Amino acid sequence: MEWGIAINLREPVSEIIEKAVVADHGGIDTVWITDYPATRLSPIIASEVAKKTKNCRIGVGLLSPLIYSPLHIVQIMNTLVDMHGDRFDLLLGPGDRTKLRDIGVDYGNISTLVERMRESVITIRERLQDDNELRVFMGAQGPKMIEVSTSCDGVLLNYSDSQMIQWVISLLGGKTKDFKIGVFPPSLIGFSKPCNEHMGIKTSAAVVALGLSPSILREFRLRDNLHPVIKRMKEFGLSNDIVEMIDQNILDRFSLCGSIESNIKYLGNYQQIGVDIIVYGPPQGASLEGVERLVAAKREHNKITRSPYRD
Amino acid sequence: MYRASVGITTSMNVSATNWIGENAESLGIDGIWVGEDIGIGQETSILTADLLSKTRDVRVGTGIVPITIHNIATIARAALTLQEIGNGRYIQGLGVGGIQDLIKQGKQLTRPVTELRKSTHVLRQLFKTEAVTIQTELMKLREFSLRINEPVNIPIFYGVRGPQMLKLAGKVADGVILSGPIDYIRYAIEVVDEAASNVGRSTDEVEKVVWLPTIPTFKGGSEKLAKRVVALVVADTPEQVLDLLDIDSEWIDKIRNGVSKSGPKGGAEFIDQHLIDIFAISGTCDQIVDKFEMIHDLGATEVVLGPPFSGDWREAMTEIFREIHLRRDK
Repeated sequence: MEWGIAINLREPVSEIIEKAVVADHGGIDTVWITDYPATRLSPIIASEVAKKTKNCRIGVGLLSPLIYSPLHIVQIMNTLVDMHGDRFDLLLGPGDRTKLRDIGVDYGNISTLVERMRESVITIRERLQDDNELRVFMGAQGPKMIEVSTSCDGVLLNYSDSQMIQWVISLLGGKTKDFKIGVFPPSLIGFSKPCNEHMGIKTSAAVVALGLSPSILREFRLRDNLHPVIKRMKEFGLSNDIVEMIDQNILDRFSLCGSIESNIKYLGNYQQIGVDIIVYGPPQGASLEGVERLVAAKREHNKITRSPYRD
Repeated sequence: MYRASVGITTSMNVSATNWIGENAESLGIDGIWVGEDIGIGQETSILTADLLSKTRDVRVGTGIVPITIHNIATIARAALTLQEIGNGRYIQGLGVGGIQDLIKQGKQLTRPVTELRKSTHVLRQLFKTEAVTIQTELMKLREFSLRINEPVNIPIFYGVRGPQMLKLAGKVADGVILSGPIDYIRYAIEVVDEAASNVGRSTDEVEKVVWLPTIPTFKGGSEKLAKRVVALVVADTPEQVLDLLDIDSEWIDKIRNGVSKSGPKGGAEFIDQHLIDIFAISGTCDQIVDKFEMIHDLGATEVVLGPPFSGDWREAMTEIFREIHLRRDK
């Protein structure tokens, strides 16, 4: 299985690069440079990371075609490939509605959003240099966006729950060799503090859970539990109190958290259901320690999966 | 003494921009300005970052980033990132964009001067760590901040042409990037300086950067390419500027129509040596450096050797900068 880590861009450039270098040396397959409307610009950082790393692939995104025009996204990716070679992947998606609104970018007519995303994906894929190995992924949750992802090389899901992942695979009509199924949930692997006491992972999981579309809430019978919390969040904003209102069992469906040993179990399960890619989302990559612990987890995983005694 | 710099555009290929970045220090280039050919070639912020990381003492600026094309939050985020990569050597070039580009992109601004002034103010607030809420013709921010703890100092230079814009540059910008015929450059510097004085600023507070197409004739440059570049410059020059010159307005219309219909190539057939002499710097190495000095005497603090780069342009650039430094050392 391909391992990735998402590195956020809130820290100074030198620290971001240091984390990417540690991930690269530690054998992480892909370093994802996330884009978020209130921090440093991911395409520039991706270019700088490419200069300082050797083996890893570099993921750019999620880039929203609502912020960057599809032609600008094409220009970004073609420039990166021209400068640094065939090492890049792209993650597309509409992006967080509230965050976009803060910078004056509106979803527009919601009934046409999915179609506009599809058109953007098609435009981008048509215009990317066709001789490179750049993979385009769609960040998706609900059935419509999952359907759009079939125009891409794969889908990245931000939930960790096996039942939900299997549901996606069934929506896609089963697993195919050429289409990659990836999970990109909030993660915290290798830390000793119990997950239910770690506000960072709980908050990241809460952001995903509370941002679920009504169709997913219905599909997985989460509406009754989450609707009052969503209502309260809309009124008061996201706070620790709001996060604490969510049952830990629900937060666990939207995050990967635990020891190196429990991570091995997660991956074994994912492999069985057909997941190809795991990207450890925030807060794992928020600190250098988080990156180092993931590298240790990868090393341990490699030992076990390569063991001649493994049955 | 004036700063001597090189201008490049995003439509240049990677090997050319790499060569400039890798050789800037040894050639004695003081600055590199990156012009954005909207949607064409290399992505502006990535190219600018690359030049900043290839150099140590060279100032690198965008010349310019159009506020009509990019979200103001994206401009601010790119600036912050570039400032960090360049350890304070980055200059944010800002403008509304060239006339032809705006037509092509279907962009219109009813109050461009106001919008540029407000955009500058917003960027400076963001660089000072503030959260900004504002709604204008182009911008809509709600409690947006860059989430930085320490203020950053990023100079803002305008790439503008018309008199109102020049006045605004004199009042609020850290510098202005000028392009056009020599008579216009003289006029523009006067307008900028006067506007600066009127608000109690020293004229030295506003740097005057003059970027002109430079066509060395001594290393086999392409006349065809020079004509195309001049055609684009003419088509992008506002009426007020052309009124300062003794050029037949019908002829200008032919150039504009040609560029509008078929791009720079379409206007090139109407460009003669007279227009090249007005809108560009051409000649031998000595003639080019003489002209740079003349532009400095007009009040320019920085002169930019701009494209088209053709023939053995690397050698031509090397010779021109060698000559500039020889004269500096005298």
